[in-house]
Amino acid sequence: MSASLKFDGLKELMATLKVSGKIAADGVRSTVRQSAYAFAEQAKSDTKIGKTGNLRRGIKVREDVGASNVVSFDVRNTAPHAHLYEYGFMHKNGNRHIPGNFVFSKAGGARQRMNDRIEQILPEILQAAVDKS
Amino acid sequence: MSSAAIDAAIFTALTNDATLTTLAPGGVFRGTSPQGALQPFVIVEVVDHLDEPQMSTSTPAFESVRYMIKAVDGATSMVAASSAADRIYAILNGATLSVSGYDAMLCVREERVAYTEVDDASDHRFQHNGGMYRVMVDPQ
Repeated sequence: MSASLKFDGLKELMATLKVSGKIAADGVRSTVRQSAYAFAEQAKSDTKIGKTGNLRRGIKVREDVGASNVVSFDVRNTAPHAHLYEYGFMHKNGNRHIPGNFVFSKAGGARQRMNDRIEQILPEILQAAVDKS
Repeated sequence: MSSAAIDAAIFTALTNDATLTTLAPGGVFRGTSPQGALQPFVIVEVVDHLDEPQMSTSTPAFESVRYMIKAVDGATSMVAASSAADRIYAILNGATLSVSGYDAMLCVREERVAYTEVDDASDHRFQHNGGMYRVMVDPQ
């Protein structure tokens, strides 16, 4: 004769929590991607077209697939003179300083909007995963 | 109260420093320099300016301004521009600025900016060295 007392309710929840990092990363990927592309478009429209158009064409978005459970998109300008447009340069003939345009240095607003959106959706994503478990 | 007072406080802090005047005798300029200015010189530019709103009044809770402040020198070596940038850092990083109409909250360097500009045609070089500084002030 025996009596077994067992509580197994947490098993599936624990399994869900174990993969919560991946659930969160997968859930916010589209938001981060959209934010990156929106910022790139803004950066393009803030970048004047010069003689060649290389400066505007150089703005690219690339997903940085490094660590697991991390979603990262890089927006960068691959044009070799992008830093001069960003931070300013010396005019060759006049020998005076031409101000920077700070296209990328103004990314703070886009980052803040993305973080606000993620703060909004992340609890729902995790709640849905817990409910499913 | 005018946000220009924040810019003025930065300029005052930089121009009143005798060591920086020696290291960057060209002077301190906003955005652009006069043609043919003596080098090295210092450039101050507003990158962005945010007002933090508050519910009870139209006066912002605080203002947060990001400046790029750098020394520029037409030289093959970064040494002079770097020395001036170090002095700018010593003056501003952690400083309590005196801003008319505001209480100072914060003045720190957020990131370093350093690059060499090369004129491909003449191989002439310009050294740019400084940083992005965050200044936060509380309107009185």
